[in-house]
Amino acid sequence: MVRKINWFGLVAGIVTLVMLVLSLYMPWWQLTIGQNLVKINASPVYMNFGFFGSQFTIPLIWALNVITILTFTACGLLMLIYSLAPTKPYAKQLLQFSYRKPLYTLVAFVVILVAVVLGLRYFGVSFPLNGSTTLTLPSNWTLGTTVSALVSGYFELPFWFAIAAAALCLGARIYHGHILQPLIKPEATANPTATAATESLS
Amino acid sequence: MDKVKVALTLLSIAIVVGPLGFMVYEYRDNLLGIFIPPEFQSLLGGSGSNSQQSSSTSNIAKSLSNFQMPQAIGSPAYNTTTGAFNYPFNFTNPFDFPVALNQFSAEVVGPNNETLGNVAIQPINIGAGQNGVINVAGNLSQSAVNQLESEFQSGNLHVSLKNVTVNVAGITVNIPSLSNIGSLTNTG
Repeated sequence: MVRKINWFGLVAGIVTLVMLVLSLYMPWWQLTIGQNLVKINASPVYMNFGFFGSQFTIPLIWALNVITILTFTACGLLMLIYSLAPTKPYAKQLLQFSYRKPLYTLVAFVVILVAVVLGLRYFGVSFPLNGSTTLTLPSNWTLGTTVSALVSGYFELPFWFAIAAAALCLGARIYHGHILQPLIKPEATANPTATAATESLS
Repeated sequence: MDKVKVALTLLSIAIVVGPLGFMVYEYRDNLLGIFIPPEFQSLLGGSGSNSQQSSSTSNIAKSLSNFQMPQAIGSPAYNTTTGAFNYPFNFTNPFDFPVALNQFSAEVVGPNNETLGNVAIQPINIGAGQNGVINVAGNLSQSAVNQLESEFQSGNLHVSLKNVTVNVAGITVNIPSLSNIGSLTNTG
């Protein structure tokens, strides 16, 4: 008998772990003000703020980053275990644990990022999500002077890996149904009414 | 199957509670520190509990306290024929990172708002903790030079700058006018 493997899950597990390793070194989104005068590295895995060449991390955000690191590690490993044995009795539990979290994390990250950017726009400070622009501070903040700076915001490689991981996790969930289909006995799936009708016709 | 479900639930709880619990334990004497980086607490006069991170703030505070205004080097050179002048200044970058002084330009006006000339600098990058010579150049009328000379001797410059544009490290500041630009220290 050929061993069943959920290939989507296998790739999803690998991509999730690769994305995690990349995220430890690169942010998902980076905002730079001036010539590296202010730098914000945004990521669910490693978030920090650079100011005058020094890096700062809020301890609570650091703890949340650790939670995300542990979650992604568990999700990646459990997705790999599930993928190699998708027909085992415990497989569905492993899949349900591991396929949702990368998607939820990605959606939460994008929602929070867009909310912050739109919120700042309400106060007259406009940051680009992806690209460069010249930011001019509202004149009532700057006592008659005009202060402007080149501001760049870019999504980095781990963000695109996160999208791929989330999509593959969803694919693994959908493909799980296709793997189980041949294992379900025809009697169990047959429509009793239709069967009876066929018999009566014959 | 139930055992797997229970194990995964416990894993989820441990993943969330572990880091948060550690953080609360680590900052048990200073719970505000969970929300405010220790670096900012030390800037605000409080005591951050994380000595490793607070060093970066003390670096910033030290850098700012070491900031000194540019010092004039020697005497300004002036070409009476063309009206061009040149005046070098020495500046020490107090920060731990290079500073790019990309632009400084202004219009020089006298006490009665009469235009005396203009000044600008050549762009310069000064490395962390390094000295750099900022060369101020421009064009001034002979009467402006005479006025500046007399005021320079008195120790104060009663001239003003208009339309000042400064670009440091990519941040551009436009100031409509700077009245009475103050004293100059000549180290030459």
